[in-house]
Amino acid sequence: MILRHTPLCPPAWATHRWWPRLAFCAASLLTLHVVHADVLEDMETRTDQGVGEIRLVFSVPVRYLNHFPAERGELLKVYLQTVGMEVPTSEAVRGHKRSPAMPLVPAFAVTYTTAQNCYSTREPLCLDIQFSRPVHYRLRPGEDGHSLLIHILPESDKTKLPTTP
Amino acid sequence: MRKTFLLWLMLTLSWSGSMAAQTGAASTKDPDDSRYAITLLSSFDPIPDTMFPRNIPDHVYRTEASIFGRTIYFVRLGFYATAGEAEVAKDRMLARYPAALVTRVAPDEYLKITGGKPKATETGVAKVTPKPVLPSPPATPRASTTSISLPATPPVPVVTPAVPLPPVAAAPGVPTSKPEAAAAPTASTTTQTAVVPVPAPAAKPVSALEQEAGTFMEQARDALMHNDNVAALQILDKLLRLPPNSYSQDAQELIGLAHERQGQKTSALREYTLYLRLYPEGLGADRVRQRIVALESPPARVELKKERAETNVASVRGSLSQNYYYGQSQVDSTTTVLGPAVTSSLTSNDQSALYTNLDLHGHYSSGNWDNRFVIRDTYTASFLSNVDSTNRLYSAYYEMNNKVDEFSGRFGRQSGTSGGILGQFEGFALGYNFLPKWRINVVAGKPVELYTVHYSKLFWGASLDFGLFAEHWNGNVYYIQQTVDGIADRQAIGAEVRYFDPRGSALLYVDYDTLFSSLNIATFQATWLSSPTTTWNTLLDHRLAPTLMTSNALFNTSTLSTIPIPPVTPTPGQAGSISYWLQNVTEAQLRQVAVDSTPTFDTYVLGVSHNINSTWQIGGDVKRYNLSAIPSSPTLTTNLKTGATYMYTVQAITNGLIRSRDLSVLSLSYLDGATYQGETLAFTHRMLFQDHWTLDLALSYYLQQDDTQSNIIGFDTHIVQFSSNRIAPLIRLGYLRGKNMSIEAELGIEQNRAHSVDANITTGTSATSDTNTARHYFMLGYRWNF
Repeated sequence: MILRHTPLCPPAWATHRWWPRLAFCAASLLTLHVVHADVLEDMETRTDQGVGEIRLVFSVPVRYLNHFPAERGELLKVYLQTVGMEVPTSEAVRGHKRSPAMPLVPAFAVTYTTAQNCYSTREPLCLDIQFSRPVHYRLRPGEDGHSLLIHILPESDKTKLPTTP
Repeated sequence: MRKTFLLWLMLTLSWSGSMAAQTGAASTKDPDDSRYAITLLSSFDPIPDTMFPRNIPDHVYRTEASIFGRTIYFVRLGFYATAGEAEVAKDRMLARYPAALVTRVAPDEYLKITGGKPKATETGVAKVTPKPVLPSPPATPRASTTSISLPATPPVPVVTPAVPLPPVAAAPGVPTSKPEAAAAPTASTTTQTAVVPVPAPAAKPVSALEQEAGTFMEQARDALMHNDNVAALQILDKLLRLPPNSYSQDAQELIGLAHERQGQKTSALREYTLYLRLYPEGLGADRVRQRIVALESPPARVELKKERAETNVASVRGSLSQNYYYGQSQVDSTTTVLGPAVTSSLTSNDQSALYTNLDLHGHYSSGNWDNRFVIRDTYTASFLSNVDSTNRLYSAYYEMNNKVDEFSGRFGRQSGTSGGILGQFEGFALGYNFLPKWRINVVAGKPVELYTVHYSKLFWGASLDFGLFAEHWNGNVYYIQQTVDGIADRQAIGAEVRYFDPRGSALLYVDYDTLFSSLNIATFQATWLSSPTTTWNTLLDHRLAPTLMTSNALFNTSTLSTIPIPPVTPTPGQAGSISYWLQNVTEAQLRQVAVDSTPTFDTYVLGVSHNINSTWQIGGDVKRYNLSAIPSSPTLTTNLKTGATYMYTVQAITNGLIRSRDLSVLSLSYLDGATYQGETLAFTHRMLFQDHWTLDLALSYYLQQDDTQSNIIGFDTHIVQFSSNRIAPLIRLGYLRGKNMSIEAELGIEQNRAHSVDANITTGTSATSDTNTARHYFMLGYRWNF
């Protein structure tokens, strides 16, 4: 999904004297190599010994910045930066992908946006990953420079975990 | 119990016979020389003693494994001969261990825990009393629901009579390999003792259907044990004609086995295939796949690549979505120049469009080949007379992978992500792993242009991927060459080196253009976990923006026009054509203009985030940007050169701010540019309620104040001041209908106010301008996942 414009880069008619902001935006546009509307290329899931792995494959190189919550949750926010090499464009994109449930990996949906205000960095790529139930996970960037790995453990409700008698 | 054991033995011999017939009994490794355990706890970190179960008998153990490159720590309860036994035992553990699951234990883990004579300090053996273990019969899938009685409490080891060891195992968990048998301290090469759960009465009554099905199943087993395959087929057929019940899955597998034993290979394959269609997941499916492989594969193939062979699998998935956007804007301005204010108002409908997105993935796996096709397309139907409808085909490619020889190819419209490829292209990319850690790639094609262009580009390149070395390092080196209208456009070499560690990662990337003898990109980025709760990230990036190419000269046609004598005045089509300019300037002149038209962009970032607790995270970063001047174009330089711009940001993220399933983000930034200062505030809040609804609220605010500028225009001195602010609230509602359909609606407002004063201090006059811009828009759409 392509949005018309981004908050920090409004259309020309939106401001009276817009060149200072244009400069900021143009910097982004020239360097950045865009973020294509098709930024999330694929989602792969697999399991081994009860551990699930989700690999989010992007169509541009990405740099991992941050995520929250740290390792447990139903809603996971991930901040990346695209380090792309594509044709410049001012369009921010928003997309959505949904994965069916697999054994040990609950169904999840990924909503992503490249809107400039989703994170305070140049070329942000912000992901909202919503699982169908709370999960216990760890994140790390993929070895290929354009993927993100999420490893999922069978989640025990923390309140139900056994305690030593 | 005896019957069950006999059935197990019969299945074992049946399976071993079929395998031995194709592979030779002595040369084939047993595919199922593993056991089952119940994984009670899993953790990314070592499991502390306080979490270790102490009220369960001593066959609970700790272990760890490297899975997907990450060390995972487990507490397991074992061992069980069959998945069925383990499954039922697991069910009894769920109340205390809700994440308990049945795990097929690798042979080395089994040996380590039971018979490997581990040292006291060896990993994974804490609290383990090594015991000789042999799985208990039966081996029939899910037969445990009736023929195996299960303990009401966690299983207690019981020694069973010695069991003859068949030459090749048939069902999961049946031990046959000599090393395994030898490793058991008290077992001989032909007999072993077993630890099995204590039998217990059946837990609950079954329905009439279940009773009937159970009777059929018992009869079918009897028939199979007496090698009366015809009778077994008839009984199983009756069972399978019943409504679905708890025996249906096992019956589907056994009817395949009965056909197989009758020598009816085609019928056996048909039934096994039906089994996979009905029950594609789980251990039974794995077992059936192995039987299919054994039936289908010639001996040599089984010996060479048995573990890689698979049944044919085909799938198609994707999504179709349509979103309608409508936007209306209004601009009100008031200008005062030496007299009464002049006001104007303009209202326009700036957006009315339907976006249709198709995302289609097809996958077909046959033997050692994986085949995939991908189509992604967006069609924008504009309902405004002054805006054209457009179609963008983002991907349309076919991909093949050979899993044995490890080569792959992708053909069609695709994205390039390494090897110096700039974005999307149409062409092919081939790769071959000629050594375990070395892969060579060749790529060629035509870049995809998003807009109409008047030139033609082609490229080819080769790259070499290496790694993983020393567990942490990988990367690639590449060469790429691109032409535009027949002349060299870009010719570069590059390298990418990556480092990965559980605590962080780093990337160094360099792209050097040999045509221009110029460094295109040099970037270093790293993320580092300084403590379990604190993450640092940094970026040092220097690059030509955009990447230096001969065609960059087209950005500056005004300069190009002045080179010929006399200067030329091209049409818009000619101006965008390298071929045209080559009629008027030399290649060297084109490249010089390209160099002079390409600024550099430097970025330095240092950021940190810290998890205060499980519900709060705070973070911040400092960034410095600098876009250089463009030598050949004073006009462009004036407009684009930023000078050093600093941006300071703090951010807080929390969940449970209003409701337990909410997630909120607040960030504040301060920009300090060469000629202006800006402040931004952004707040987003996502709420999940009930099981199907999501609500997103967002608010962003931007305030900018330019430095006061003093300009001399003619003989007058002007003092110019400018300020603006912008606020944009948004609300988005989503509803998930069923598993595959979602509906989404969005409503947003963007309000912008700008104020400027131009005071002529020489004449004592001034001009002011106020502009208010408001835009309202909404979106309504749906998405169907299939």
